[in-house]
Amino acid sequence: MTLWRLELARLVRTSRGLALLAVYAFFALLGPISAAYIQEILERFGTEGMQITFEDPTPLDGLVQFISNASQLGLLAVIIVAAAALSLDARPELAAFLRTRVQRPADLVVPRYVVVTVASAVALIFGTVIAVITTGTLLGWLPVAELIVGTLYGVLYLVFAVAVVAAVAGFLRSQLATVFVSIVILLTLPVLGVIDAVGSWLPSALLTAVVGMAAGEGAGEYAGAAVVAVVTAALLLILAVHRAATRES
Amino acid sequence: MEELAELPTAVWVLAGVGLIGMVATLIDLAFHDVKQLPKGAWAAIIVLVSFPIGAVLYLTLGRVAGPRQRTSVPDADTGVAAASATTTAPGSGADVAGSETVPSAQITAAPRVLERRDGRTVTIETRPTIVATEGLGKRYGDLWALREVDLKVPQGATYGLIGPNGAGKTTMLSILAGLRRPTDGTINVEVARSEVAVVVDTPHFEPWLTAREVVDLARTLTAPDQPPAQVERVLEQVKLTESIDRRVGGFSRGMLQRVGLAAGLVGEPQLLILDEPSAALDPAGRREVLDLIGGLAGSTTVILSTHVLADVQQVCDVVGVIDHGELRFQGPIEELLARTSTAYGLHVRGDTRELRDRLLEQDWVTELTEPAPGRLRMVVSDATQAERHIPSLVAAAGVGLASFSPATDLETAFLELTS
Repeated sequence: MTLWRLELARLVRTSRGLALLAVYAFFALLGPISAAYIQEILERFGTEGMQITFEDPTPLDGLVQFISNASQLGLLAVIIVAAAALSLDARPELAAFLRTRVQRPADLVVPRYVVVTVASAVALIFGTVIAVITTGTLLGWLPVAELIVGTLYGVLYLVFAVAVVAAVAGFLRSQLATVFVSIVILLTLPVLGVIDAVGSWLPSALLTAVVGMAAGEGAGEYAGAAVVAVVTAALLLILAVHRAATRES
Repeated sequence: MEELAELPTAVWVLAGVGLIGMVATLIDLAFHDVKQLPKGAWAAIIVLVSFPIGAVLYLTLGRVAGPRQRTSVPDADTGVAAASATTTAPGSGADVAGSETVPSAQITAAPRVLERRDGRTVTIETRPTIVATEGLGKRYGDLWALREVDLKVPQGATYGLIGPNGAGKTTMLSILAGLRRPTDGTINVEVARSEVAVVVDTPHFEPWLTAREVVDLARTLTAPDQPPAQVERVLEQVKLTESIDRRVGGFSRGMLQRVGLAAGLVGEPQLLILDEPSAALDPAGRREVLDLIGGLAGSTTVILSTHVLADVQQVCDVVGVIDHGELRFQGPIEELLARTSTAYGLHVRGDTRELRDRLLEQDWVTELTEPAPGRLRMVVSDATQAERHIPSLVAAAGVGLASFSPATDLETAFLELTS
């Protein structure tokens, strides 16, 4: 049993990996289906005397619906799973077992970070594939190359988001507190996007990159945000390792 | 209703998936223990928070892995035959009979010298020091948990750190283990970090790991060169062979303590730090763990903290008494007993009233009790006077002398130092 296998076991045996896949898969089905049938659904639910007319849904609408949910509730699921893994000191006795045995402080953080990030990325890619197939079946097909690049940008955002959780967990002990503070940071970050000068540089711009690219935007428009996301994630990870090394149990 | 029935099949399928998922999560909730919030609150979250987020919140933060705990869990502690147990200390090659507690004088393998001083035999420590602290202090806010502690642990010793609750024992061990940093002073540990194993007083592990996996994780982290068979060997030593592939989430506290001990032993460390190693064990389990610790003497230096003085007396050869964060005594256990022995037991035959009166007239008798007829216990201020005069006082009182001996035990010594 190594620390890497321990983290894989954490995902599998606690069903957290499955939960992540299920969340993204659920929204991947919900998004395109609701986009395709929103008119019919609303017509059948108490809108008597009121006529709501939607334009005919496009393939992009299906993807937008999925990304809209994935970037909020999907991200929330990622934060929860990441906090559960990275809140090392939530149980001091458990932390003592590992702290007194690892050779390097990075061993406490890196396997947890990498495994959760990869699992989140797999869930996002899995969800996107389902969303694209569902959209294609119901509404029409989207350009594949742009979808792949846009999804990779989304993965970079998760690299950043899980690093935020890792750093926050380095300062807090409770899992719930880590979840709450991480949500506040990650969900308020897009607010800064209203400032034009920084909007395109914020990692949160990557959340919807797949939609933008499917709509015809170029990959270069998200390059700045991608660089910021990667560099910031690295710095946050260094901070998390530093906290793991210096923090008292 | 007809309009609802006309909804596309895909919408119904999706709604069904959501409903089934929610019901499945609620059923799971019914069959598992929860943490953070009461079950009712988790049920409300599962139902009210947008699916599947409520379910994910519960599964990730609220669900306790493993089946629901009932009033008691089968405990390997009670299923072992202490009388026939034989254990082998890792690395030492020495067998220790499980049915007999090994006296500390026998288990001390390293050389020590006995000398006569002031009419008493004292032990001079000749072993090199493996752990030494100098002026060690730890402050929490305004409170000094440790102050000016100069700990010296000889190589190969079984060092018992004793003290009342809140004396600073766990803080001391946490600092030695590297889990906390001292406010003042220096620590010198003469072995590599990988050669130090720590077992906390209430070990916790990921509940979804088996005992084998927990100990194997400890092996790969501390001694990857050790063969995997070493995992089974140490789990056998702590009598967990039958539970080796059970998830530790269903273990009792005593079994967890055994897993912790196995995880400590698997790397064959040079220094083993144990915080209250027998606290959660039943008498048979306690005896086995003490025998195991005793079997390490000479090959592995052990520092153990406990408030069970009988444990210290059974396995430790060096003792440190800590109280209010200060080290009141440090040295061989015999020296502690000798330095503080002012209690005597007197067993006489006949009416003890006159003898009691005569004893109470003596200036050097500070305390006199008769716990049972004919059995007197006294604390004296001058041992020499007591030993010289008591036989004549017994004779003068006209009672028969059955026995007269120092009532020296660690508890007396401990109380004299810490009261």
